[in-house]
Amino acid sequence: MNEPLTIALPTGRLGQQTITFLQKAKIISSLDTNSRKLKIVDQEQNITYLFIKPTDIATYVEKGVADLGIVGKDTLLEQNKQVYELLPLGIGQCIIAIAGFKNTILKPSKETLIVASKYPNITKTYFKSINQPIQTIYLNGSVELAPLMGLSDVIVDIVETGSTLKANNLAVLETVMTVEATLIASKTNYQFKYERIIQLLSKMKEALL
Amino acid sequence: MDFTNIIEEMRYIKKRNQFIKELELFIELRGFTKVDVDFFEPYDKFVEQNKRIKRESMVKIIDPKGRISILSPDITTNIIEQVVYKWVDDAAVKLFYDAYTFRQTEGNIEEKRQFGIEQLGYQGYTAEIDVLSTVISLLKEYNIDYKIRLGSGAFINSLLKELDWDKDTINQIKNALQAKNEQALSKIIDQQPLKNGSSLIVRNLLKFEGTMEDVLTKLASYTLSSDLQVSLNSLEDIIKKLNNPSRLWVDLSLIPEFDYYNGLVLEGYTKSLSTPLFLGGRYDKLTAQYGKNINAFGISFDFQALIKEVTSNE
Repeated sequence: MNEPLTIALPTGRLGQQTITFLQKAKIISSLDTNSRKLKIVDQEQNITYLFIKPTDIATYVEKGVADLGIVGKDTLLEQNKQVYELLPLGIGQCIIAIAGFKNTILKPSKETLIVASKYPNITKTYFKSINQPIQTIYLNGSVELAPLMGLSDVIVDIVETGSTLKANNLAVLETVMTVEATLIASKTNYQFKYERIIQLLSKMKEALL
Repeated sequence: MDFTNIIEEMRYIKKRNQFIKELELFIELRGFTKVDVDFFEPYDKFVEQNKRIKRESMVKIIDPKGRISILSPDITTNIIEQVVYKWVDDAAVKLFYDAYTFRQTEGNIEEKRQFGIEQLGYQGYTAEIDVLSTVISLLKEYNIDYKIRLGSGAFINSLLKELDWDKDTINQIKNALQAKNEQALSKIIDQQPLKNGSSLIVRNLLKFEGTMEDVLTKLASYTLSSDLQVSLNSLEDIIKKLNNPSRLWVDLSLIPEFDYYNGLVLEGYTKSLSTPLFLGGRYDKLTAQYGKNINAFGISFDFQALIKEVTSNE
């Protein structure tokens, strides 16, 4: 019998892609993912899966409740949790971009740019690196509305296809970074379950080839 | 810990005080003496010695003359300051402390109680063996399940120095190693125009973990400089003498929080805790910065966590 392991997976669209990936990597053997249960056990592999809101995954892993987790790099950068970032998984790939009306000047030098985002930390770090003073407005969703209504000059948001931007007459002005789903591990549990974690890690690496 | 009932709270306090007494006696019986520690450190000096601790995380105090001090974010520096000026040749001391460290977090001052054991002036690896054996027998005494992750400050410092890259890049490498982020590590190395044998070792550094034998096997195909070889040999010697193979875990990518560690570095983990229960290492380099070359090794426990671990185990 394998040593028991707990893996935190994101709910929503990324979650489905993650499960497909784990099936491809032969880590999930039998799992009823259609139920609404938040905790499902794969008896055969002795792995417990927790289905968690993407922004909470790193917390479960940092605190060691889950040994491993799969989460977007955007969330990791925003939250700065103390976890190991073992492997980018090549799924959920998208960019974090500055978006706004096409003619917006991104570097009005000394003038403060007003930026709306659900990623205040990534936003601050990026604009600091290009020496542009900004005021950040934290929003939880429908960020595209902010420049339309004059709440902000631009937004910093995750862009997958760009269709929402287009539908709202906005465009990508600059790419901040590319992000993708990443396998993370609890620092404590990594020490205690090393063999098992490495075994899973190599299965995932194989699936990536 | 929070209690709504004073009887329960007093019962807990009694249990906690009992443990602290037992612990102090346990340590004293092994020849260590308890010392007092100052609350303050001069800001400039501390920043100079510890470049990787963020300045904004230090709790600053300004006196009427405009001199800036900080509330100790780390006890070791504090102890060295006290010891160095009174040091005499051939001295060898074993000491321990129970003190608070302070960090500024967003809107809060975080205080952390630390219990530390230090040995100064001992030749060879006596201090490592002595301190770690004391810690291991303490953990056994209280039935605490643990794993100790061991690395070498000397190895990592020499290796990064051999790269001869700028400080920013080195810090990025350290951050990637700390997060075990292989992809980020390769990316940083790929961007460097000048590479050498050491950059190849750095690129693979995350693989060098496991038992000491595992690590040596994995390293066998690489060419090591004499500095690297010496630091590896000393790590091997210490581990042989510690004689607890299943609990010890070698990880050459371990980056100590403090830059002054120049020999064995370690982190102790226990299952119930998401952060290390204890940390430590050899820090002769720090004493040298204060003007005396003293052999020094010590570890410190997250004391609140240790107390919780022990009182909940009983």
